Parts: sequence; structure tokens; C-alpha cells
Amino acid sequence: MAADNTKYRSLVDRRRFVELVGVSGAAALAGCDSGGDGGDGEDGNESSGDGEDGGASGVIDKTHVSALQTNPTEDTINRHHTQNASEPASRLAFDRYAAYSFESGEFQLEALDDWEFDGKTVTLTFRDDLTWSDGSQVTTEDIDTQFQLQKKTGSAIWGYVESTEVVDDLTYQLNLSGETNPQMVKFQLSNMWVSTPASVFEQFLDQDASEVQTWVWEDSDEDVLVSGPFKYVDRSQQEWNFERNPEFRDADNINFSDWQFDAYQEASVPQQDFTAGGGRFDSSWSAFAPPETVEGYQDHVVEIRSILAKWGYGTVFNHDSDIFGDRAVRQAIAYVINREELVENAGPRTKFPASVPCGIAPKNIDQWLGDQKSNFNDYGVGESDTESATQVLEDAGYSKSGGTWQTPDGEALSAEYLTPAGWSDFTTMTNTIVDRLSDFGIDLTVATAPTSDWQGRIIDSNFDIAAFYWLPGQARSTFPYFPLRHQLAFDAMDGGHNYPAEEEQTIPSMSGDGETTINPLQKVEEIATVPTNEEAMPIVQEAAWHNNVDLPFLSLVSKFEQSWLTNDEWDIVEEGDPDRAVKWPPFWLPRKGKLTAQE
Amino acid sequence: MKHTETDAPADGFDWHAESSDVELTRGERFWEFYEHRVYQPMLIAWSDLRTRIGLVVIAFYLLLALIGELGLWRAPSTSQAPRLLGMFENMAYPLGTTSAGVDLTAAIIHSTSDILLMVLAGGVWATGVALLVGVFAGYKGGMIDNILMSVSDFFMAIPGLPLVIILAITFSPENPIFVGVILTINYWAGLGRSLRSQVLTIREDSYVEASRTMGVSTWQIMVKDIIPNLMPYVTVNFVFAARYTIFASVGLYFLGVLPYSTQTWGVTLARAQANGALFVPDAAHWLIAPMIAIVGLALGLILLGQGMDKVFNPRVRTRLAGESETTEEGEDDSITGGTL
Amino acid sequence: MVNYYVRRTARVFATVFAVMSVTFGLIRLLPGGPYSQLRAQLLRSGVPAEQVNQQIENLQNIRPDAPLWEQYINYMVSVLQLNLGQSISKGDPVVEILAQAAPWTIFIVVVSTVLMFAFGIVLGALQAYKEGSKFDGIVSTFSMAGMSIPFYVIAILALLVFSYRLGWFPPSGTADSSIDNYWSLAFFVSVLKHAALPVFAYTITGIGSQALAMRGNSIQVLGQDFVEVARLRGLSDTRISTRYVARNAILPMYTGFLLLLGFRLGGTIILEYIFNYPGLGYYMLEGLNGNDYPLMMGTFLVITVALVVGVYIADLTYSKIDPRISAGDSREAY
Repeated sequence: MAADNTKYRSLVDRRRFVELVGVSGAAALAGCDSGGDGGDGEDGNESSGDGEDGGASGVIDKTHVSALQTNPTEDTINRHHTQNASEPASRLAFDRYAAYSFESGEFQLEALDDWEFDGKTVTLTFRDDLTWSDGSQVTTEDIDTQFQLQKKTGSAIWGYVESTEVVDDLTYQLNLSGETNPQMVKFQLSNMWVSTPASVFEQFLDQDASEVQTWVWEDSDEDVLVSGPFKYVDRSQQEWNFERNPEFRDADNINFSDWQFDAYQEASVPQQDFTAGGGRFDSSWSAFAPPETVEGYQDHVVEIRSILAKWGYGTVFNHDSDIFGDRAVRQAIAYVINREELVENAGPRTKFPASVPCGIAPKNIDQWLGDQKSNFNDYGVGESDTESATQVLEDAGYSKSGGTWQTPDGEALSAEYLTPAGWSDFTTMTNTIVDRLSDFGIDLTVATAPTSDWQGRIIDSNFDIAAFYWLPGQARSTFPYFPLRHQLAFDAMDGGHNYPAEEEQTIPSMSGDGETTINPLQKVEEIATVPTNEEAMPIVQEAAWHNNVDLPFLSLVSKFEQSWLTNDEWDIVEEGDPDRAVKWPPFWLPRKGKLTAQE
Repeated sequence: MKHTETDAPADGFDWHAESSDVELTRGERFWEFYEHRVYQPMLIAWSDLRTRIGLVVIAFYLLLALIGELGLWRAPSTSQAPRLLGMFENMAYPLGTTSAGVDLTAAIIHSTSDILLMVLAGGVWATGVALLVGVFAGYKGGMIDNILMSVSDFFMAIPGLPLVIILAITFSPENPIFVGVILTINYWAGLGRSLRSQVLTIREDSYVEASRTMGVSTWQIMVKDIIPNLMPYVTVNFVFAARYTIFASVGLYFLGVLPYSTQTWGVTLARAQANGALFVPDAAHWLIAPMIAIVGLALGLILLGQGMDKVFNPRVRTRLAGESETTEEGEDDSITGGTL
Repeated sequence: MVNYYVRRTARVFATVFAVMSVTFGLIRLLPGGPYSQLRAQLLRSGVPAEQVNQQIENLQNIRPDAPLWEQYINYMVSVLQLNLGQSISKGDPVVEILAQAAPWTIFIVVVSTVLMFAFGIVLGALQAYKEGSKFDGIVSTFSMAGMSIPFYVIAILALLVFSYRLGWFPPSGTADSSIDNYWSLAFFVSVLKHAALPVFAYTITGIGSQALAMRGNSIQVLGQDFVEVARLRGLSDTRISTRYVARNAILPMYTGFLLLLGFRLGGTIILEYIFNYPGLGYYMLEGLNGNDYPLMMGTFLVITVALVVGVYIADLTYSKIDPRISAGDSREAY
């Protein structure tokens, strides 16, 4: 996954980030009613769900132009490329193992015909109708090449897998390194693509990892072989051209001839086009637009807001800090912060608060906590509960003097709140938090730093309290293991928050009486090793309870992603279809026949 | 900057003629100094409309800073007001509010004192170092001159803004005085060179010659004979350096490369842009408010500078009835000022 | 005189060398060091911490733990070979990126600076000619107003009005992407349209100070003896104004022009950021925000060298044009 996902909506570019994080929010709940069948994808050539139009014969000579906020020549569809593997382009070019619908919450198998989980063995059976664009069959030799290269480059799947073997042409076996919850392996597999034809990539097997990690397929002499609905044609700094791949197993679903990525730099370019009706773009993926802007859009612009971004604004503490290392202070802060106010200030259209700060993604909280949810402390989702905050601090021996709280040792509660510069909605929420906490008597000042500096300081533990995304991103965030682990171990920042995740801790018990001891990280790791969600549930609850009480991170806000399609020249499937909630609709819908050119 | 060497002699400053032909007692000297260097110039300055307006504008900003420091206007805070009020829509928030409900008037007032400090620091640093370098190099000549001029050539060779940006990232300055100094880190170089060439002329003048033959120490000559003659030029350039500091600081806050804890004008500008104020008519005031603050202060400084120029440039004053500038000023400004 | 040229040329090399060294030092001073961004990127994408260093080594082909002097020598040698390293965020050689970016920046800076001077000189000359008139007063007022507006304010307003509101000009980019033929009229027009707002913003605020300078110079020249003499000799007004006045008034501004080019190269960071105009300044900021140090420092070096060369040419040609200059004087010390 190193190779697969570094480009994944890279946070590096702040302008891109504005678009990603956005400033809006809450009415968004509409259109996200859970439903749909979450089909298992065994629909093969008969391709269920493709609408009335788009037969095998009638391919219309038409180009779908999609907005792309990078320079195409800087990217590649080589998914092993560490820095520049293009997420959108590979979603066009390759078939994926499985897909996850944010609407149904289910996986649907795509290139896979079946995945079988049996203890430490995972058996992957691929479909027999997968072909490369040159007509050759996709076999497990290709799959093996992919896994071997990923092993070489240190990809995340190899965190679970110990070894692999080719069983036959279509069957591939993974031997896991330990008992693992299938859900977790599934999330990794759903992020894999049939992207590595052995004929092209086997040359890298006996070379240094860096060779394949820096290899730009399009610039090489090798044929660019694809397995997905569109194949590569050519590219320039401004555009990246693809054409319909007739060899794709569901090619019948695609009734138009060409796809083009049209490059722009500034986030507002698609906005301007959609407002003015310039007709330059037919779609734009994962592009945030402020609410006032959306109102000005042309009628034919369709907003698709059914994908949970699975990340959002949270607060991270440096647990080595004299002040924030104390649970009482963290709880007081949680009480003071008004999560609904954050949403209102930073973007009421696409953002929503966590109903209970417990490390689980907001939309999954009810499902995992079940009856136990009432035991959890919600710290006041829509209020600034200074009374409770005062109570907590006074109980812990803190006192207020001259308007500022002081530790029992007489040290003032005063610190810098580190936040990334240029992330507009993060900054707004940081300001809101700092204002409320300062009003309350915890004397915080905002300290902004450029993105890289901000990350650097967190990695180096050179901060006291900071803004940081509390969900690790991607579909896997729906599974509590990932966000809980992210907050405890903080691998993304090399554990820079110094949380004693592997220490035995004493916390009040969930039932309300007595205390209990817990080793938080061990508890979270336990989630990974049980085979079913039912068995995982009580463990998740315990881990979430610990998070709720001890607050290694503050889970504050999450958001929906916005994608944009146009329906003046294209037919788009109705709202509520689970395929509208597969990342990302502009690239996913065509292969299902749910985005088709009008005759 | 070679040109200044040629311009200076042509353009010259004749102030010495009035001030130091005769040896004077300390008291007389002081009185004369006050009379010629403070009182009369002030009088002339005030007679000029531009100076008057400039001073009033700057006084207004000082007043804003004072209001902020004394807490006479509410401090900016999120959710303190209805979101996205336009200008003058609600007179409690005359400049309107942001989408997070921050009073823009408050945001501007409460960052004024920081900006003024920054501007002062930038001006003092730029002109102070330039004066030191220019006078030493010009008067001492020889080796010292060579070294100092090589150093200032080096600083002049580094493009201001990119260097400042890199330094800003490296040192993350938050103290407004430090920010001011960083912003003008190499501004002094060009100015120093011009001053040096003026000193080259002055040191040949008879009264300096006289002081020297009388055995007056180098230090005394510099302080008493040379620096006073440079003051007009220095003062005018102080104003330009100050203007440069405002422009650069707002620009860098706007780019997001300077760290900040309060919402300075540049930060407000950047936030407005990031929140789509370019795009959304309802939010345009969010951009306009900080722009007015920036342009107003710069205008005040420019007017003051123009007025001062008239005061300090007697030749132009007498000949051209107070309507012109010296070559050096115009040009020096065009070089550094043109960047921003 | 030869001695002067040799010394002056040597100083160019010394300056460039010093700037390179400072650049090297600054990279090391920057927070997080050269590879923190890449490290964060790898960590975030799920690469185990223990493999991250290995990956960085793979990708950047350097050993971050080599002794400083070794890194220094390697750096200097490769820069001399025009190898500015590989951009971390883009994966391409920095030289390649800058070679693509530089023409656009140079285009904007040269065009806007030339326009600024042309307008400034014409206006200033007219003002001097009609000194004290209403015209003089109005232009002076506008000049001062112009001097108090930073160009980025104009840039933002121009973007707001002419691009977003009226839609007359594109808000970003260098040219229309759909035009393939770079030698067609359509492409040329598109380039002009894209450059129009940046050039406008960068020109308009600079005219004021040029006009004021030109006005001052002209008035001064007009008052000089040789103009009187020319008048007495009965030379025509046109001849006096072009041969004598204009020449002598513009001459001091000439070095300013070349110097300004260099200074304004630096200013493009803000300009190109606002218009998303992918030139040198744009990439410098991009490198900065992404901790892409090779890209950032490469841009910094290129801009600096441009400025050094600009000043060098200014000095050399100026002493040719204006014989009064005494090259490199450093008389006796007191």
C-alpha cells in the first residue's frame, strides 16, 4: 500500500487540501440512508444494474472530461510508484479486487470471484474472464508478481501476510502471520487492483525496490496494459487521455468512447466552470465546494455526497506534557469544546460531529456501541459544558487564579495550539476551540505552521496540543480497529504524541461502579485477531470506553466527501444506489453502466 | 546601485553650509540643531498638505493600536457575532464578520499594534544598518570599505522575498519586532551603498577636512559632521522601508509562511481567500476590510515620505516650489518598493 | 579598467559560490530536515517505521546520515553540473521542472517591467513637461496612490472582478490546455489572455514610482546648464527633449531597470500563487509547502543567479553607457 496509496489525496498540497477538507456541512445527512443490497459483485457479463441504455453495440463517440488537480505528466498509473501513483487514473485503468460501498457498508467482489477466510489462510479465487487490454488472460502469475513487488516495497498488506503461494491459474493463497479479523484483510484487499501484468513488471523482481517505485510506465517502452474500463492513450501537462477498453469484462456497460482528465491547478476552477456553465468539465472527484458556491451551481450539476471522508478534525495531545498528560485536563477540554459550534463555524453542510468522542468513526458509533452507548460520556455535543469541566479540574486539585487555571503545583494551564497553516477549515476550528478554552481559563494561543513543519513537529513531539485528523482516512476507518489504533499508536506520526499505549492503565469501569485495568493497545490488537464482528464487538466497546475516558485523542468532527457529475449530457443512476457510494463515483459508476452518455 | 555614486555628487546636500562653519559651544550647537533640524523642518513639513494628511493617517493607526491595547474594542473571537455580516450591515460590527462569526473590525484593530511594531522594527533595522555600513565604508574607505561593500553586494545579490521566506520558515518568528527585522534582512544593502556614496562626497567637504586636521576623532566626525547630513535621506528611506515591511509582512502572512497566533491583516486576507471570498459575493467584504487597512497605512507613510522629501531637499524645495523628489529616492524606491 | 572587469567578474562567481553555500546551510537549518515530508508521507501510507529510512534511501539515492562535508561537496559538485537534485513531490529532476517554469516567469516579469517603465517614463516626462499643471497633480496623486497599494491587492481584486465576476480572463494557468498546436494563433491568444491579469497587476502598481522618478529626473535635467545652452543654441524642442532631457533622465533609471527585473523575479512568488501561474515562484512555494527542499532551493538558486547576473550586466553596461562612472573606486583611507 505504500505504492498504492501515497498519492491518495496527498495532504501535502494545501490547495488540494482545501478542496478535501472543506468548509461545509450538516444537511448532508440526507441521501445517506443506509440501504441497498451491497451486491457481492458476482454479476459477471450480464452486469445487473446497468440501466436501459448502453448495449454492446451502441458505443457513442463521446469524451467524458473529468477535472484533475495535478499535472498529468507528474503522475503515473504504475501503482507501485511511491510518490506519484495516480489514484483517479488507476481507478479507470484497472479492475479492483473488491469494492466497498459507504452506503451499504458492504464489500462487493469485483476481480475476485471469491475470498475464503479460514484461520490463517486466505484463498483468493479470481474470475476467469479477466483480461489485459492486449487480450491476454489475467492469471495468478500476474497476481504473484504484484504481491512479490509489494513485499519488496514494504506495502501494508505484508503487515498481515507472511507468505503467498500460487495454487492454480486462478487461485492464490495468502498465509497470514497470525490470527486476523477477516474484515481487516478485506479492507486491505479492497484497496488492491489488478495492476501488475507479469509480462511488464517481472523485470523488477530482481531489481532494487527503488526501480519500480520510481518507474513511470507511460514514459517507458513497455506497453501500458490495463485491466479496467479505460486504457491509456497519451498525456500532456494539461490532459490525460484514455479510451474505452473493449477487452474489459464489463465493457458493455460503457457506451462512450473516450475519457479525458483535464488538468487544473486552483481548487476554484471547477467551481467557476460549474457556476458559469462553461461546460469544460463533466465531472470532478472529491472536490470540496463551499455552500454558497454550491447554491450558485448550474442545475445540471449533480452533487454526490454519499461518501464519508472518514477523517476529520481532532485534537491530539502530547502526553509527555505536564499539562495535557493529565486525564483531567483532557476531559475538561472535551467538556468545553462545543462540537456543533465547530461544525457551524467551519462548514455546516458537509461536516458532522462525533456523537460520542470514543475513537470510532461517527457513523459507526451506534452500530458498535449498541446498548452500551448510554454508558459513554458524550461530553456535551452541542454545548460548552464549563460546569462539568470546572468540576473535573477542581476534583483533580486544579484551581483558578486570575482567570487562568493552575495545576496543583501552581503552574498555569497555558500552551500553544499547533495547527497547519492554510487548511482553512482546520484553522477555523482551531480558532474556535482556542477561543472557547481561553474563555474558560485554559490559556491557549494558536501557533500555525506550514503543513510539513506541522507534521515534523508532531513527529518530533515538539508540541503540547495540536490539531490532527483523528480518523486515519480511507474505507478502513469504518472498522474501529484502524481509528482506535491510529489514536493510540499514532503510526502516521511515528508515535509523536507519546501516549503510553502499551502500559496497563486504571480507568473507571464501563458499568459505572469500580475500576478496571486495561492495556489499551493490546485491547485494540485483540480486535484484529477475532474472526467475526460479533465477537469483536465487546472488545471494541472496551477499547472505545478506554478512549472515551482517557482521551488519547479528541474525536471531534468528520465529514462527507463531495464529488460532482453533470446530467445534461450524461445519465446518472438514481440516488440511493450503493454504487454511488463507492470511491469515487465519477470513476466507479461508468463501469457499472450507471454513468452513461446520452444518445 | 552604482548609479547612486554618480547621482550623489550631482544632487548633493548643502546642509553643512548652514551648520558647521564655525566652532560653537555645546548649548549653541544644540539650539541650532533644534532650530534647523527639528523646528524648521517640522514647520515646513506641516505646511505641506501631504505631510499633514500622512501624519493624521498614521495618528489614526496609532489610535487604533491604542484602542486595541487598552481593550476598548472587543477582542476578535469565533462565534462572537452573526456569521458573514456584510460591511455596515450591523453597526455593532461595522466591517462585517467572517463565516466563523469573527468581528472583522476587532480582528483589524487588535493586530494594528503588532503591525506598527513590525513596521517600526523593519524601518529602524533597515535604515540603522544601512547608516552604519554606509558611513563606515564611505568614511573609512580602503579595506573596510571593500569588505563592507562586498558584504552588502552579497546581500543585494540575494532576492529579498525568497530569502525572507526561507528565513521565515527556518526561524518561525512570531515576535513582531523579529518579524520586522527578518523582512528587511537585506533591505539595508542597497541603501547602505547609496549612503556610502554620499559619505564619499561629504568627507571631502571643507568642514570635515577642517575637523580632521584639528584632530577631531573619527567617531566624532561621523556622529557630528556626517550623520546629520545624511539624516534627510535616511528619514525618507525609513518611510519607504516601513512601507516595504507592511507589504512584505502581509504578503507572507497571506502565503501562510509566517507563523501567527493572532489574526494579522495578511492572515485575514488569506482566510478570506481560502474560504471562497473571491467567489462568493456575500463574503467580499472579508477581503476588502484588510485591504483597506493595508493600503491606508501605506498611503499614510507614502504621503509622509513625500512631504519629508520636500522638507529635506532644500535645493528642490527652493527651486521647484516643493513639488519634486530627488533622484535617489525615486529610484531607490522603485527598486525595492517595486517588488511588492 | 580591465582590472575592474576581472574583479567584477570574479565577484559574480564569488557571490554565486557564497549563495550556493548558504543555500546548502539553510537546507540543513530548515525544520524537520530535507526528508521529513517524505517520511511523513510514507508513514501515513502505512509503511512500517523501520522501513521508512530504507525507502528514503531507495528513492533519493542519498544517505541522509553521511558526514556534512561529504554532503556539502556532493551538493556543490552536482549543482555545478546543473544537477539540482530530484524533486521529492514531483519525482522529476528539479532542473527539468525549472526549465519548464522559468520561461513563463521571465515572460511575465519582463513584459510587466518593460510596460511599467514605458508607462512610467512617458507619464513622468509629460508631468515634468507640464510641471505644476492639473495633469501633473492628478498623475502625481495617482502615482502616490499606486505606491501605497501592494500588487497582490490589485491581483486579488482583478481576479475577483475580471475573472470570477465578469469571466473575461481565466483565473489560473498559463494557456488553454485544449490547444495542441503551440505555434497557432489560438495558442498565442490564449497565452496572452492567461498572462493578462498577472501582468496587469504587476505593472499597474509599479508605474507610480517610476513616473515619480522620471518626473524628478527630468525636472532636474531641465534645470541644468547644458539644456539652457542647447536652448540658446536654438535647437528644436523635440531635439532637446529626446536627445538631451530624455536621455539624461532615463540613464539613471537604466540600472534600476535591470535590478528591478531581478527583484521582481522574487516577487512572483506571491503573484504566481494568486494566479496559480506555474512559474518559478509557484514552484518555490510548492516546494516550500511540501518540504520539497530540492525544488525549493533549486528555485531559490535560479532566482538568485538571475539577479546576480542582472546586476553584473547592469554594472558593466552602465559604465559603458555613462563614462562618468569611476569603476570600483576605493580611495585612500582616513
